[in-house]
Amino acid sequence: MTALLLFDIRRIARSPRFALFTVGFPVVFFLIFSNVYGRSGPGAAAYLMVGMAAFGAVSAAINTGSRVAVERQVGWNRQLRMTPLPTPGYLVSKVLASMVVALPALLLVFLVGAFTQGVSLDAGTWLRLVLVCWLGVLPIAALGLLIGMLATGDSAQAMSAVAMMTMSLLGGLWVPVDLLPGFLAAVARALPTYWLAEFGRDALAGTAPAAQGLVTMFAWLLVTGVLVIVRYRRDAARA
Amino acid sequence: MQQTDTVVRGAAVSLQGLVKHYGGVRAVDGVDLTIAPGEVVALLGPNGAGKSTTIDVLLGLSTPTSGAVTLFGRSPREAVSAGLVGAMLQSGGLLEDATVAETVGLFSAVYPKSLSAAEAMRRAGVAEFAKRRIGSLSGGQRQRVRFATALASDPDLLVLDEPTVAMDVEGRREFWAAMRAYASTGRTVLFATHYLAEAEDYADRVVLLRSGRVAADGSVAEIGARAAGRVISARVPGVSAAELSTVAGVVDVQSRGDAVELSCVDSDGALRELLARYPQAMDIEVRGAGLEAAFLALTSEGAAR
Repeated sequence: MTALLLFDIRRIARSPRFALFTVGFPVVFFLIFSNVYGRSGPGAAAYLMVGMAAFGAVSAAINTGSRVAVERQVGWNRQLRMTPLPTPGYLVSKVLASMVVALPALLLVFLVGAFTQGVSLDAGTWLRLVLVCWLGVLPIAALGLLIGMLATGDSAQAMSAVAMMTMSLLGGLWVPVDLLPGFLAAVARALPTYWLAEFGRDALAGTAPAAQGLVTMFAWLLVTGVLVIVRYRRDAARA
Repeated sequence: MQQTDTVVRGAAVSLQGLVKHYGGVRAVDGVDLTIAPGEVVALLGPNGAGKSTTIDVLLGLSTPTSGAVTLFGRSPREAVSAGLVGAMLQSGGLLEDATVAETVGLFSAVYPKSLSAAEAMRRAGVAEFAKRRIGSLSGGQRQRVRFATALASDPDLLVLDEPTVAMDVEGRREFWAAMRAYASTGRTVLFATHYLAEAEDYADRVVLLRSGRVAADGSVAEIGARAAGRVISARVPGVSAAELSTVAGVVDVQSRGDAVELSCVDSDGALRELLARYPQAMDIEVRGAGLEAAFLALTSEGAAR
């Protein structure tokens, strides 16, 4: 499992285009938003920073997971089935790869926030913020893998772009949910991305994550996880 | 082929009454096959004869509709997990953005007792381009990388599905040299091929599949003899290949101008009818068929029926 994780990470780390789009894009977004709205009130820059960091992590996790579609298409998974690598080992390794790629995306936005946008927090808050936002990406990493298991090599990019945009916009990562029409605000509260950003803001404020958020996150992780396993089994049976 | 009990029990490969249907298609339709440890067996047959399906089921990549499969007395999945089986699949892919060393290294890392990546790469002859990415390799080089991944577990059984398909002459020669070195250590090899020369040169035994069944099973010499295939060459002016193909016992006609070559299952009968129907036939020669003609005769019997 570790071998597969390292193998995957090494390949991703070598792809400059992948890094540029998944890690670089949210930083650029953050700089633009922050310069437009960042001075609008105390804590505005920090608020934007959490949303954009979450966006970066979500985009990295979904894009990493959806790469599985291409791997399946070229027959790589068939090749892997000829090894003792167990199903859980494969799936866990894939989710971990997404988590590992999400971390620098998250950290980069935080660094830019701290060093160029004047976000100043104490060390404990930074640590909590990183930890909470990173762990909160877990259901999204599972979602990315599900896209990878469902899509073909051709449709993977489109599917992950749609998932990423919907999740980010409706989850309130780009604009506050309160600015969305009422029924969309209700939808937002059912999304893991909304709670991801909420958890980040809770960490800023030093409050504990809401129970509703934890339940929603866990439900997403459970459902996508089960769907991934079902889909993986079906893929194996059909091969 | 009659097998003793001990051979069946200790068999490297045992397929009993194997059937695999895809929808209404009977891809494999009752295959019995026992391969003893140390045998090098070629699986031959025309496209659609069930070679790849048999191999998929054998490796546990698909489940049989009915019948039993064991490898070294275990289920395919168990045998694969234990690293007893190495496979080079036709449709198994490699990732273009990984290097050769990374790919072979991954396979070497996931097996319980394995060759080092360096050793697997050396044996498969890919060490000199270990640092290159798969995407920059030729088709033949990629095939050899697959061979290296198949060797990674130091398997007792090697299963190869059309292994030399993208290789040039030199690559093919090197590949078989490596394969021979592996087989000479008493390991078992099963390979599917449509190059008859490869079966003739490298296999101890040939299993011929036709329409999902075993049409013939034996040494190259035995199969050549069993087919009793002969080739009649002659000049038959004014007669088309289509007309000649209706002569009883003829299974294939090759013509160039008046000169024709008739591949026959029953050359005596074909010759009598040929002379009776076309007395103008001349320069007649009858020769024994090699494995190629035997292959043709055995695999087209079904179509003639």
